[in-house]
Amino acid sequence: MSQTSGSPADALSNRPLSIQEQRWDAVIIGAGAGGGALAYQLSHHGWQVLVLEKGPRHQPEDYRHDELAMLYQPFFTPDPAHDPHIVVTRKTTHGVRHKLGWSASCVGGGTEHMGAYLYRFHPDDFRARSRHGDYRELADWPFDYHELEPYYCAAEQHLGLSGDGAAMAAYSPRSQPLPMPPLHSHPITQRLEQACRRHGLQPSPTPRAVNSRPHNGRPACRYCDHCGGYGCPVEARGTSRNAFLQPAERSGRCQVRHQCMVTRITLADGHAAPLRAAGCEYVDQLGQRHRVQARVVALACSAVESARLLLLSRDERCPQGLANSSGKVGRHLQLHGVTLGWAEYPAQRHAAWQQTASSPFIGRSVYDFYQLPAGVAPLRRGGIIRFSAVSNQPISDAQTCAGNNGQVLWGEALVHRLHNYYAATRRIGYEVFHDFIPNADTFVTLDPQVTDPWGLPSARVNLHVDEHQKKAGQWLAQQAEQVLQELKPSRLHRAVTGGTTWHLMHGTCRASDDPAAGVVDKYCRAHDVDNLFTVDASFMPTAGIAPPTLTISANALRVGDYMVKQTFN
Amino acid sequence: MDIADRDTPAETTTPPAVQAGNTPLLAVVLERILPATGDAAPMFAGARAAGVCDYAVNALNEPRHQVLRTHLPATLRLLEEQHQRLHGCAFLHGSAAQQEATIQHLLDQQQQPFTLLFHQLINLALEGLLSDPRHGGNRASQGWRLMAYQHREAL
Repeated sequence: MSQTSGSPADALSNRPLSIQEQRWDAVIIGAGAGGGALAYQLSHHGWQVLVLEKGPRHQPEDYRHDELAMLYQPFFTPDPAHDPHIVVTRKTTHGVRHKLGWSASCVGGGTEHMGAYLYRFHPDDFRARSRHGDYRELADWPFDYHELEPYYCAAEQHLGLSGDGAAMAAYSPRSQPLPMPPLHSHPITQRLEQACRRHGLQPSPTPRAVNSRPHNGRPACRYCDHCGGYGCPVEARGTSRNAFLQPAERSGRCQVRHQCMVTRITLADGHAAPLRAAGCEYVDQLGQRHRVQARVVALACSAVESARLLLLSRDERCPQGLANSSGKVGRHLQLHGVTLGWAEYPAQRHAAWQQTASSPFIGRSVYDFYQLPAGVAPLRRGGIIRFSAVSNQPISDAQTCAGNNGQVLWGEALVHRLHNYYAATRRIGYEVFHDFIPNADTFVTLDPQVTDPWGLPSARVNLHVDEHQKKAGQWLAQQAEQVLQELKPSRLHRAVTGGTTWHLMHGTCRASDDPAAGVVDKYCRAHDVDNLFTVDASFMPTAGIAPPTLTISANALRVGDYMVKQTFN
Repeated sequence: MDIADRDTPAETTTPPAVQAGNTPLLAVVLERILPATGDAAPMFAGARAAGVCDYAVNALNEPRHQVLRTHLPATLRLLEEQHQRLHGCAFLHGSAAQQEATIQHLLDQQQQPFTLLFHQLINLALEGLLSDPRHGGNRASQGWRLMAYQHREAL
């Protein structure tokens, strides 16, 4: 796109602008894992906080076990037909409208529908370049695991993690136990653990932000087996909404405005560097334009959307985009590596399948492959294997049956394959979390043609997956399958090998002590803008092997602590 | 999920809406994807009786099915032409066995965009068979009963 000095948000200037007199201590843009945690931290230290969220505010009673509505229709994420991200790869000939890069668009963000597998990062995730050398765009973080550790403990308490902290301590050291014991497990879990141990592995309960007993005023899990992709109607899952934002609102010092789309960050008058943010402009659900003022502005809209907002906020003082004198805004985008599959077993094969179970969960994680053997892949960065029961999702399960291993099943053959499927079979799945290597061909810009419903350029995601991810995924899948083979499945299905998630993102505003190498400093403050912070995963120099959600919340608490200790007058 | 390995059809302008009543060919194709099994187990009454066809007409007009809706007329035209060539009659007037043979012929030939679109039609049919009945398909929970799926709400 041609870089003119005016902001694309000028396109909205024909709408009347309401300038609000109140000056907030902080305005936070985005109400997900980072924005919620920051709002909590600041409001509980006496700050007046405004949170602006583009999406709606769902209520627990909105959450049904409706696979079509929750997983297929646009409920948590925008409809790519109207509000897309445009994805370009080396193999695509056209930019594709896609939901890649939308975790969620609602109060609570992706935590509203997450599977809630909340792992900490490994200490080596903070020093990937030191550990693995100069490969692609690897970098060390400007702070280490130990600086974040107390905030991990706090985030685990707020969100309510169940699991076995002691068993995970060898993977990520901890100063406090998890607040709750593990969730109950299905009897087949014992057989799975035995199989793991016969392979020399040490399985332990997967840490989850799901209550194994009442916690922080929220009830224990009812084991309805509709977690990932669904909202929790009983609030047994800890989300940014119920763990951070609701307590913040109860303090009387935090206001959450939903369906408010921020169109640009505004700057204070004057040209002296560093710049200062004055607040932001947003469009509400009625199409009214507002300007709000704040001492501090914090971005928490996700790695893709935070970079987009900075690029949209350019003006004559920052013609490349706000906080972008380094040219690094949008660079170093990382998704997350994923490898997954499952084994299918005849229901009669193991007596444990026949037992009346108090829990459908299997929920065991294996950390033994954090480091790969030499020679498997370009780097020795491996993954976490998470074994689980496969939830019964009839539409997606049937679609898998119809398109299994390149074969197309239809007609009577399909009907017979579906017949009695859930009564006759049981499944154990595996999901390998592994990292996405930052590389020069994966980054975010503004699309030159496609716009969002507000007429602003959509994000254009350029995507390339490094060979490490494929090779690591291939090897890690084999390790998971060897364990599942022990239980004598009738078939193994590998769904994705070394693939890319569409909903976990990192990078785009890399944290670095060097203003020429990154966008924000170690406290996630923009090098160019004195009072502008990022508290989603955009600050992360590298993705961890684990999913980033817990780390996002922990870091937002850390950044909030820093803000409180500074004076932003 | 792994979009890095895929190419997809180019974006198009918004296609016209699909209307109930002018899609008899679509209904027959869906019936071939999920046919009635008669009195033999599993005693499934077929796509039409399970509400799949009604569901599909509504769902095709959702933005998320825009690509399928765009290419559907050409796909059905191809099917009709191939059936005429193979069996000398209109697809609608052919026997179930003839209709299946025509579809299989096009799949074997890997005719694009037929193969890609037929996969999407299978997925659409399964949405209609197995979604919550409040969406218009899965009439009397026939799809859930077929799979022995026990639906429960948490509350």
